[in-house]
Amino acid sequence: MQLDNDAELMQRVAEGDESHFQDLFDRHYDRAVAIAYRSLGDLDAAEDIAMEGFARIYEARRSYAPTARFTTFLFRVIVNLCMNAAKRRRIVTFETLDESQSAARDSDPAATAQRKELCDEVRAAVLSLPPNQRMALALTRYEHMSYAESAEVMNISLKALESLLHRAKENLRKKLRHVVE
Amino acid sequence: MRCADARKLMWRAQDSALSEIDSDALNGHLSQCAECIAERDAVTQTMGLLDAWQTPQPTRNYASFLQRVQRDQVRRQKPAFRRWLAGGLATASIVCGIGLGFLTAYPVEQPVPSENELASAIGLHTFGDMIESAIHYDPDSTVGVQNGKEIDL
Repeated sequence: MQLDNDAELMQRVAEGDESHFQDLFDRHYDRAVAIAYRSLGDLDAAEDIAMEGFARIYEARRSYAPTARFTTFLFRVIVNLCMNAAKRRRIVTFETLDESQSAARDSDPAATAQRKELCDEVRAAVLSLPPNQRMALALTRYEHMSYAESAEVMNISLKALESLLHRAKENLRKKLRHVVE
Repeated sequence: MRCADARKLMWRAQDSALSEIDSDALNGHLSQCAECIAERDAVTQTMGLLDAWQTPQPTRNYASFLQRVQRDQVRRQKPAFRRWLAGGLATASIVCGIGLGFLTAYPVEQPVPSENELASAIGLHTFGDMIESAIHYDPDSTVGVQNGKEIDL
């Protein structure tokens, strides 16, 4: 089996050269956080999930066997943790966009307020979707994964993923109709 | 192609997930259906809105990860000790419970006084005297004195 570069690094970590784990962490941590953030809507919780995902892989490093791409393996762990967390939390926190972040981008207060309002609307709409629809959307729309890869990461069939996405987008269309019109 | 089928394909087209055949079929339908063109524009707008929600920059790094791993290792060691302690306490309480159960289920039998003990308790010196006193029953003679107290029969 042809190993990708990440899988080769992980293989070395499994053989005892643990310094390579930092390379894997640095490469994929931000993306792991992004996936969790789209699913939970809370940066702190998302970073907890990403850390937990990496910690689990690190703990199980000795038994690592490259059966898929490393990112597929990592993101599957992250997705499972997110789905479990979403079930436990039930209610997703709706923190608003940090004022200082948006203000730094735009000196026009009206435009900043408008952008913040739009961001909050989109965020609320996405977070109101059921967890599995939200995750399908996060992987395909925000992380630009192919349908096949997203289905593999979510451990569902391609048909099931397409169905989730269709329902997610239809729901978003309804929830954001007032913004579009 | 029916409008319903075209609308399904529109969503997939937003993710660039259409095959060439589906893409051609959708474009063919759009070229002759004004309603679906309006729907396609609305779908494009809706999907475009999603970009308004940006992911904030993560705040933690590999050093925080290593700290967390060390914390986890320490935390895992503590519960192991606590589990042993809890197990020991549970076993001890079970043993105590069983012991108490035995004690209350089988009350300790009081010793039955011997005939001579009984005889001396009622002021007669021997078992023979007691038999004799029963034969020649006389309340006055059966009143004995023990430890300076009279005993009523």
